[in-house]
Amino acid sequence: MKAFILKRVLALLPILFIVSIVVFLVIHLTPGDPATVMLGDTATEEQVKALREQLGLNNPIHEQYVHWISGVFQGDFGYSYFMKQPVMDTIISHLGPTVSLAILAEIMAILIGIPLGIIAATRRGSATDQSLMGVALLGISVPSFLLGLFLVLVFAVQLRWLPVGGYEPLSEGLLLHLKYLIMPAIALGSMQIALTARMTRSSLLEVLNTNFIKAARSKGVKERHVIYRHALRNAFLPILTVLGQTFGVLITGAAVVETIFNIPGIGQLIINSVGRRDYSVIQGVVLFVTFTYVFINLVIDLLYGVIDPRVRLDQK
Amino acid sequence: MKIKNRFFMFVTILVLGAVLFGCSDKTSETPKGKSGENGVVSGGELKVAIPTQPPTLDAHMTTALVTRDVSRHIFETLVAFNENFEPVPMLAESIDVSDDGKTYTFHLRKGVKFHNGKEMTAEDVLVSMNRWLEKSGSAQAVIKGAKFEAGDDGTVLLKVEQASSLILNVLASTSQFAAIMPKEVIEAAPETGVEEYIGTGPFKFVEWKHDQNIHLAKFDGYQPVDLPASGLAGKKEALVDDLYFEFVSDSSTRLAGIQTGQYNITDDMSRDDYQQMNSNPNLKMVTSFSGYLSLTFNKNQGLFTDIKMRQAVNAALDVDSILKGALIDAYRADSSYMLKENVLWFSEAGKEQYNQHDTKKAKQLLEEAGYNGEEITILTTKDSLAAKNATIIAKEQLEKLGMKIKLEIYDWPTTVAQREQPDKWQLFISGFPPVPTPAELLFFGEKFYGGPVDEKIAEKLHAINTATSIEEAKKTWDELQEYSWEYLPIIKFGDITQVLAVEKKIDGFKFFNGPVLWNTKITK
Repeated sequence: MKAFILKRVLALLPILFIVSIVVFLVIHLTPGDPATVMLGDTATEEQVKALREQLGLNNPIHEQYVHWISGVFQGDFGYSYFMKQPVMDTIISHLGPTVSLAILAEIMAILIGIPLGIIAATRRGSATDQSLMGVALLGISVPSFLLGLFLVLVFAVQLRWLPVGGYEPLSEGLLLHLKYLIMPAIALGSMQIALTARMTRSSLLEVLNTNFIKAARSKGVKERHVIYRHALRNAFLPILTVLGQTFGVLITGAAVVETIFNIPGIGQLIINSVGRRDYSVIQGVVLFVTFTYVFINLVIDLLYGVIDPRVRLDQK
Repeated sequence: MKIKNRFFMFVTILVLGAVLFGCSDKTSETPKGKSGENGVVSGGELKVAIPTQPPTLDAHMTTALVTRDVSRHIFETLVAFNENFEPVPMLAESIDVSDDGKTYTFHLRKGVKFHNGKEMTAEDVLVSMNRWLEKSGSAQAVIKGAKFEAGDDGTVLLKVEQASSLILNVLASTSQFAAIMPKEVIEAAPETGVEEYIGTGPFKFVEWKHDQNIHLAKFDGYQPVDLPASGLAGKKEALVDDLYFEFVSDSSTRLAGIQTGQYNITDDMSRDDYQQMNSNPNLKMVTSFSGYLSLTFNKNQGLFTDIKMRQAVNAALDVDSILKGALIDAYRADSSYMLKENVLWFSEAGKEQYNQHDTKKAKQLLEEAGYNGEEITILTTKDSLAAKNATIIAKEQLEKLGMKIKLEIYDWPTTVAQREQPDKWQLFISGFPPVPTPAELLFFGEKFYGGPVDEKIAEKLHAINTATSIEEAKKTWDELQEYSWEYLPIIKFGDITQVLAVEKKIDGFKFFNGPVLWNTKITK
């Protein structure tokens, strides 16, 4: 087990290294730079050039890369020109809202998606099944921004139950925290809920057709126990994969929802940073996101073993 | 059993979430209260939604308008514009001008305190002003080579190489303004600007939650000037305890926010939503002019170094339909380089060259210029919907004239990078912000991206800058604008209306080249 984890973590290094080079080149070869944005729309070229020189943006690109990457190896991801703080601090401060949002969306996927999938699977072919899967299809198809705007219109503008946007950290109270996050979580999570429901249904159906379930049923085991104890556990592997992969998407793909609901998370950070060409932040976030993806996949792999002893990794 | 299991899972996840976020930063809130002071009720918090986050709050650093809008509440200047765009003393008590007009003596107001409690001294002013002189494009344009020096008895002297009636106007510039900061703050500043925002204004800086908001609070030690409030000058008073600038990039979120009372004032509202906001009994609309839409010619190289080519484009354009398409009805068709509100400099000279829509004349000019179907690149940015739409309409009109047009539309930083390379574009469509004096018009500047300025323009501009009376300067300005409409460094399309939505319970809010939030209170 330990060797496996070590191997996977070591395999991460070349990935991060390649990503670091690619992102550095792409950003630096894109026209426009932080000096232009910093000095404003009507600054003269002379002023822009002077600031560029001061910021070291005129140095050869390989020198800039070496300077940056050697800092990264020492745990220094650089300094944000606009935030006036180390990049790591910036990422951490923007991580809270995003992870909160992702967890809430994931909880909804689990609490709503899985039960719906089970209901649909056990009533296969019925009107309930078909209407549930119809709704699920809608959930996958409706874009999050549209759903988000619709929710705002109903619950914030018309009913005035919830704020239109913004963010309050958990430290200000759970209820306040949820008040700001519930609508974005629904908008963001609707696709996850639908995906999870569909995956649960198809995976469960597959298991329900196997011989050991037939055996259990013929033995007279209660249908409830058949479903929850035997079938669901065996059907859980693909569901877990979906949940895990979508968690990565939730963390990294919340940009649109964060923009609509004005949540200062990682998605907003990357959009704003590209807009203002805050090089070190863009690089830092991309590296961070890459790391998160690979790390979540690793965790999922390990969780397989917990659920299904057959894939346990420490077996000799 | 199953219920237990599921419940357990739920609790585990919740706990995990709580642990992950226990570390979220907690903000300490100061207790809010109402205090009566000279009979004026003060208190509450004012929330203003603005579309973008400022690149910095260091007013010396940037020409960004959003910096101007926030920083003016924190910092003050030696002189400030009153509502007639006349510079009057603010942090200066009085100003003496020497007979030759080359030395200005600023007597500073006594007892003015910075937000850190330190009293403002001549040294602070000296260091601030010299830094500003070095960084400000306007200062470089009008008073190049000027220097601030220490005078007797705590006065500050400005020494200029050339007398000019516009010196105080430049010192009162509204964007990239001459903020007075403590000497220590400036000396500690890295190249990207000061890191502590300490001024003498009615609001002090509290906190900047990046990508979320900037929090300012009433500065209790503020010393107002004993003059009626006017423009950016006169008596200022913070009438709310807390002032928040919330960054809300999505315009529909700003709209929903003002409708539900989450924000008290929202800036940069979409004209499409005007009806909806205007029919809301709790809102009033404030419109003002935020600058003008225009087309810049590349005179560095290529086709438009030829004046006939420029005149052909100017003759051809149907400016009305460009403005209508770009701004719906949020515009004012007007040819003056200085906005109508700037009474002193507004001029109708050269107006007959504006919005000609004369295809025949344009075709003839094209022929005289020998245009032969060469490809013309129009550069613009998608970050300004108005500029983008104007570009698309202008393209159509020029194509009808027989020009071969290629569009290049990028995000703003890319656009600027392309604009720096004269071989990459011929026409550029963008907005220009309003400026207080003609000397600050970007397209008359030495380093303008559109290329070198005509000698005659430079001469007249110099005459304006060094005129000994405003009347004389004004006369020369009329001549200059008339000539410029023939020479055409740019074509002005029209003034852009900026729409702000303000809750009716907000009293005293003014707009003067940006929102003015002192003397603004919440009633009820």
